[in-house]
Amino acid sequence: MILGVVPVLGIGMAFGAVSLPLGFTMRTVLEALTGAAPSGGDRMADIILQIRLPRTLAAFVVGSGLSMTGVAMQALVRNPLADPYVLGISGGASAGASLFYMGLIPGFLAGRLDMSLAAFLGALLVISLVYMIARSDGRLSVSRLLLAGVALAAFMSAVSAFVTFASEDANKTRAVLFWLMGSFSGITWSDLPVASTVTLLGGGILLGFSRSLDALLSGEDQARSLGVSVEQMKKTLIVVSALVTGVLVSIAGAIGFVGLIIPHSVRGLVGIRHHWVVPGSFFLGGTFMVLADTLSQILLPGQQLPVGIVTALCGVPFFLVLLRRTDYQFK
Amino acid sequence: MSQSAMRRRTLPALSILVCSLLCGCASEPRKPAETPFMTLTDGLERTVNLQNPPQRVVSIAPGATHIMRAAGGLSSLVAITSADYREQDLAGLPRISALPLDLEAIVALDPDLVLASDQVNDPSHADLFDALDIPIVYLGSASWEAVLASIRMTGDMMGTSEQATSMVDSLAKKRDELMAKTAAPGVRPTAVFLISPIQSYSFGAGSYVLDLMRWAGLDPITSSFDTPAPVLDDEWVLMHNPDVIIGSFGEDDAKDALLNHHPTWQSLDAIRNDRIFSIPAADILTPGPRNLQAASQMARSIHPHLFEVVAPRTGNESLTTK
Repeated sequence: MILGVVPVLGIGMAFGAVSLPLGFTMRTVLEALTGAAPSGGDRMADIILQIRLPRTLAAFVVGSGLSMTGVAMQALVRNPLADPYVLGISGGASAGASLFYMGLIPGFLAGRLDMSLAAFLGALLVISLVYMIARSDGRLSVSRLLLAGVALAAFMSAVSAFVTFASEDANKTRAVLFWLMGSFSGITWSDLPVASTVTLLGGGILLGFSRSLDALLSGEDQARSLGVSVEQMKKTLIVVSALVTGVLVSIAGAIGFVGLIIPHSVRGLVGIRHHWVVPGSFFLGGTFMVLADTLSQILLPGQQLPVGIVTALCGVPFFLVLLRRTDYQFK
Repeated sequence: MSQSAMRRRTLPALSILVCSLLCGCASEPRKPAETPFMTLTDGLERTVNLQNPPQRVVSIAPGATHIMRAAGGLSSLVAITSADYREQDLAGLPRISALPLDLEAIVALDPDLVLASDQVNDPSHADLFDALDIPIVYLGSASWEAVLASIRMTGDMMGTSEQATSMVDSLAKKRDELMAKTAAPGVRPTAVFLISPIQSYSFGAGSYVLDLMRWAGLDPITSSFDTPAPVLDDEWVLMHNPDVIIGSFGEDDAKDALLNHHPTWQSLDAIRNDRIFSIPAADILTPGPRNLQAASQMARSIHPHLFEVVAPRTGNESLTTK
């Protein structure tokens, strides 16, 4: 999987809305890496260095982060249907983005926000509510977590749908709808530092918890008997997943299916040990997302196809085939 | 009397009562006149019979309202849509929701004609209105020729044929004059139309908006797209480097908004040379007679020298335009 990353990043760089010679693309990237001035035209160099490179890297980071948080959520609620959005994070982010776009955030706050920050705050608000509802006597109830997450996600989706429907500005409605489907269009270098730092830190923490995650899949009591501090771990998993998902959704929108299917695909390939599932999901998720984003640019030349459509259209059949062909186990 | 016997007698009685009530509630069907006042083929190629000259018309598309205005039929309108933002002189008319269609509000107005647009309204609503015995006409507006034909047809329906024909002749003449002005050699900068500065929704081949751009003396770069409404990729726009960007950007600073959402476009000629122009959405995004106004505004903004007023050389000459 690790070996496959470099060629896939190369594919992400080589293909896009316009056709550029592969040699020129690679030379421009190498020149940029070595600090030399690009020898090609300014416009083509801009396309490679200011659009494709940050976009490809962002796709990798978002795919990796969502897949890993999918692993964390599935272990936390011990349910194979869980994904990064199961606790209502995407619903909160969507509501935050919708309210911001439609100008429904109070003026004193709106001036200090942009759409990404509004989405992140929406996600944070929902996960905080879910956490408070699920917490009782210092313990977190997984059933309450799930139910509160699903209920608040539905509530926030209704908020997004209402503000979008009620808006008289068709341009903003279109922008929100496009954002909800997920896209890497408009990604700039400034989006990458926070997203990649949070994803790498989150990945490191999850990897550190890999043995505890294995134990948690057997049940909370079993994990406790093996010396795992279950309550502490559940809180950490929620905070890490909320932070990673909130940041990633805020830059790329609510891209679906990746966080659900990649962890299962990785389990089908490397087994259920989280020591392998976490890094496997990091690399396969990133690789898959780069390929999906590349396809989204090639399928309709010159146009933007929301990447969420491609992840579902291509990812789900791939996942079903894998599920059928392998000796799959969740626990 | 046993329970089963009671049930046997009660059920038929109840059935008769329910049937009587249902029949009584059903409205008396309108009796069709012997000969229709007018038979026409609308924009969906439907044959519509109008029994009487329409007196109470509801418009369920802004484009249909524009066509009614051009045809001189405004006095017969009893309601327009909540999306008719620019019809200030019709402020006294009720506004109805067209998306989703507020059917109850329309029926309550007791219209004798509903005007729709073949580009905006759902064709399946025709069956709905047929069942309610309310005639609906879908006005064609897929092309400029269709718009002119719709104005003529509306004039015929509303009994304002003379006014409609005069408007059609005037619009056709103005369009020809505009095209003649912008046909001068060397005045065809490349251009892209964006519906919004946020997402790059544009128009593809066959769209009336590309026709308007050509009338205004522009060469639209999106004419190679087969899809009617492509969402342009930033790198594609960068590669095609349009000389001009046009859009319905509203009152905001379009350049700032564009660069905010598409920072890599700062190297575009249109951005560097400040060739960004905004056209009111109601004039360009609603297919109809106002589109000519949009084309004219585009042409005047982009080629002001073609519309310069030549100062008279002597006191006896009047002001003329080139």
